[in-house]
Amino acid sequence: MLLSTTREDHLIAWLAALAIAIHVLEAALPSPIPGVKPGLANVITVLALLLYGWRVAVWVSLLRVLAGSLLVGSFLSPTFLLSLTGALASLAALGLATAVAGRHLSALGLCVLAALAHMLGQFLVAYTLIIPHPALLKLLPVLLTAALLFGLASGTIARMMYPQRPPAAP
Amino acid sequence: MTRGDGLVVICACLLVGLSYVQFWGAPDDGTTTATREVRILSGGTEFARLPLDRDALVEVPGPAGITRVEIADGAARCAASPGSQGICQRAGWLREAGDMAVSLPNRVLIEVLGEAERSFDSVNY
Amino acid sequence: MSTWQRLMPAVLILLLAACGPRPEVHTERLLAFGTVVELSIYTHDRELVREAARVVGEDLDYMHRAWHAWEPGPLGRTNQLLATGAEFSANPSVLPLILEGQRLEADSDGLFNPALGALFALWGFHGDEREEHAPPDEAEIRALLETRPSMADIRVDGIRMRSDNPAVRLDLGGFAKGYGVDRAVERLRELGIEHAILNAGGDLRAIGRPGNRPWRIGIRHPDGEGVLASLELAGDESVYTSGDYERHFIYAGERFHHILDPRTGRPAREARSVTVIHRDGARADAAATALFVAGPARFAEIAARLGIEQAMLVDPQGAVLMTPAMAERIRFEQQPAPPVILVEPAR
Repeated sequence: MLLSTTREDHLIAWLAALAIAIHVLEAALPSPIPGVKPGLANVITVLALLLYGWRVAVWVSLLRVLAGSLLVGSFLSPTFLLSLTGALASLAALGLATAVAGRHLSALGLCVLAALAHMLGQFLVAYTLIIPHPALLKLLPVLLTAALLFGLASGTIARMMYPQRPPAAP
Repeated sequence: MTRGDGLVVICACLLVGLSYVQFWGAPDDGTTTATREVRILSGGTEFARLPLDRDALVEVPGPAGITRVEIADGAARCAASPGSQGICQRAGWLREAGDMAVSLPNRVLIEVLGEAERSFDSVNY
Repeated sequence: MSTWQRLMPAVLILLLAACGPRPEVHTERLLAFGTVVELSIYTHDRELVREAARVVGEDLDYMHRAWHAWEPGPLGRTNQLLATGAEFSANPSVLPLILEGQRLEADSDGLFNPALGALFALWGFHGDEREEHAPPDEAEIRALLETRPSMADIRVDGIRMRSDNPAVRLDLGGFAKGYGVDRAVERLRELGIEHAILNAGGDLRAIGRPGNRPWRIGIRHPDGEGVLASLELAGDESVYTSGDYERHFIYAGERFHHILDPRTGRPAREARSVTVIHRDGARADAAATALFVAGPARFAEIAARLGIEQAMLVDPQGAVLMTPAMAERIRFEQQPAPPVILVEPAR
């Protein structure tokens, strides 16, 4: 019996592959706190959201975290936990934003939101579970600035590619 | 850029700015080279609080006599104090936040103010 | 009003709420109980810290006066009355300490003896200040030891008390500080403080924890140079150290310190310092002294008798004797780490 795949499945797979590639590349970047990354792959999540809605974005994101961690060899490690938390946080933020103000936000605003939520989620996990040292708090402003800048940059690029607004809320 | 985007970006900037204020704030954490102060306690109450960047000589009266505190070159020391073991003088020059000298017979405590970058919350001896 | 507009005030309030003063560790230093006292409290309320320091300072000063063995006060008076051999009503601020002192002497098999105040005075350690004089000679010490003062000579019946032995002279210094710190910490709890360290001249009791990490404590090397070891405390624990560097005098090139062995009447020489971790400060204080006197020879036995599970002894050669429970808590901070011998407390 052949598994029949829909067109949506193809799209998800294609987007996920792209996201995984970015995730793996990002794993090679150095970071002040090991495992905490700016979340470049979030761009793909936002694009998926814009093109195909929140549910597709969720699939793409989770696939990216899972497959990415298997490829990098960090599955079930603290890095994996941080990745997952970042992804979940930005998905939640994106979901909330599109539900509440979907009509008003474009790729730029969404990318900034996703990047900040991603970084905040990661930091919370790092601070409460991994390194509960007060010195970590001094790093937070720097990390947030980085997230903001990445979000603005990726959002601007995404906006140039796909100037639409997100489809109706899930 | 939509109005919604603009709002998001403004809020994000505010959040980031606030995080600097919150976590990098408090100028008395001693890591700045702003003027440090030395506080002299006599019998439990504050006798004097002086900046370390101005040379000075302070005489602190107490139940056992006079404790002389000298400030020079950005540091303070217990120049003279009643007490047979010279514990106060032996503390040497006090420069960093948390450094201190004490004269028990005269009930005088000399300490440099500021949150010291200690790796320990308390030391047992 | 759109959902967005309805949500905005909530978001703003949340943002503002996050901007309150953060809790952090505030430290106040004061002079009390004859030493430097450091009070560290984890809180966002600076006023509370100042108030707590004031209250603790007053309490400790009161206790210091009440329990001073040599200056006029409740304990001084008690000593005078004990010497007469007559029965009298015990002073309520002193009675609990006397009862605790009796337990401690019994549990330490006499190695900790607060009734030997006369010996302490013979060596000149009774004052807060010391004048230079030679150590007492053997004859004087022998004569004093022969009078065999002991806490067991004090008969307590309700609040009535008398001594069978006029040689008994109480000096509670070996555990009064521990007892006092414990009472002061109770006061802190009454003020609503749950996370603090009270450090009186190096001996401390810690309660709670500063946020989501334990308290980090350093133990100074007996030589006074740097930190020998570090320790993490959480919950409710006391750390007490007795050392040969605390109160001492030097005469003719020899150092005589204040931890006297009741068996010989001379400073104990088998240890340089002893560190004890225990919940009860008075017991930890006394145990640090008793184990110092016990030395490596009776370390295991006396630790077991006193109910101490975590203790560490540094001997004159720099080797460290410790209980396995202590070894789990201690991390040496000096390189090279000293040689360690593990000893299980056992009678």
